[in-house]
Amino acid sequence: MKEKENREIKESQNKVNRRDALKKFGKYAAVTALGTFILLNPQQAQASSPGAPGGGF
Amino acid sequence: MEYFLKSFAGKKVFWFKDKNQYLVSESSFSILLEKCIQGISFDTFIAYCKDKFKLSEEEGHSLFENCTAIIVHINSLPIISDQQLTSHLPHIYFEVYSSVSYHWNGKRIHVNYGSKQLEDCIHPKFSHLQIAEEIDLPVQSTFNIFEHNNQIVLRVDEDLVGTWSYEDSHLFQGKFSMKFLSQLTGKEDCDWLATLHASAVYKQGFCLVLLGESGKGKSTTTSLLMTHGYELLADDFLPIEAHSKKAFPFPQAISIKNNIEQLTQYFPVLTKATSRQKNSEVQFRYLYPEIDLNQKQSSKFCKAFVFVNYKKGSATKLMELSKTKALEALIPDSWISPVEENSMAFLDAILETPCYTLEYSRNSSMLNIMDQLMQDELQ
Repeated sequence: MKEKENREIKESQNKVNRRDALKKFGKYAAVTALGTFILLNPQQAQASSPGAPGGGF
Repeated sequence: MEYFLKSFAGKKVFWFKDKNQYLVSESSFSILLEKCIQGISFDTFIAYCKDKFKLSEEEGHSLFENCTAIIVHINSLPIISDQQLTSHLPHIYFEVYSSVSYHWNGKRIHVNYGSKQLEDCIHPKFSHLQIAEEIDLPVQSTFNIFEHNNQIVLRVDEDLVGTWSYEDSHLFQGKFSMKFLSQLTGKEDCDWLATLHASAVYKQGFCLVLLGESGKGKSTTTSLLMTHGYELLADDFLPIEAHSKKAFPFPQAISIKNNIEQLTQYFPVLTKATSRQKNSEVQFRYLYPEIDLNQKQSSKFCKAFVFVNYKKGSATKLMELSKTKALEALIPDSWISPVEENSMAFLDAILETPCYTLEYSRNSSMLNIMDQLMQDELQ
């Protein structure tokens, strides 16, 4: 029973880690070349260059 | 989970509509991901991998995990709404620090600034468009920019466009640019496909789009091309028109951060230009293009996307860039309209246009190779 719980915790941690890795890097290479993919987030709003000129508040 | 797909060179791009998220993968992986999205069982998935791709059970298992992780991740993202914030603010009184009228594309916009800080945020980029108040030209719309509850507020006529904290002033400036452009061209937000963090120059209806990280020489390259028969289309903020998929002019001044000395021989006015502080390390000066304020502006066909890298001592190298790399660089640095037709048209525009990386240190050979690129004479 305890072993099963441990396994479930481990699996759940693995899922979190994988999700975190996806969020953190937006990029995750699978074990096979076939499964390589890239997640890309566009800007959600129009923006000037970060630290744009004149923005010195 | 609603998504749309585009194919290119053995790969697929997914666009997940509600989450405004893109994913690039091998075509074969896209088939597996689609099956998982449609709810295929684990056993059927493994059997399909064995049959179709001759994969072991372990490999199939790993791919199933990847697909599941992607779906979990996409589902966990917040839903993006393309609704515009257009609520009416109750009238908030603010003391007008300064009022300026700007003129471009034959139209006039009036801007009221609530403080010197807010004026400094916007005006220096557009001061070359300023016209005297008494000039007889109807005002297209009035922008009010002021501070309320420690937030920057932007109102266009009676509509509240948005509020931003001071830390997000780059987003305020971006939204100002979008609204400024839309008002001066009589367009709506949905008429734009995207805005790129890019510069562009044009000649005879065709433009070269220059991209790259800040400090890699986009603005300097743009300015050098302007001394060589090219005209400025935009610097730092490049709008792409939705219906034509072409680049549209934006009249912001060019911000020259490095290589001032390299450019003063062509633009002596730069030596007298005010040096401004971008951040604790970077200074810059504005170079103001000559613009006919009455000229009706028109979009230009994008000849190529060129990722610029000015590198001291390097030979001039123009190399073709894969579409995957181009998408990887372009998407995170761009605002892309989250409307389905626009998102797909944006992908079409990128996939149909040649993409290159350009490394150089010698101006003359850079200009030569850009001419070849423009005239389809690359060797």
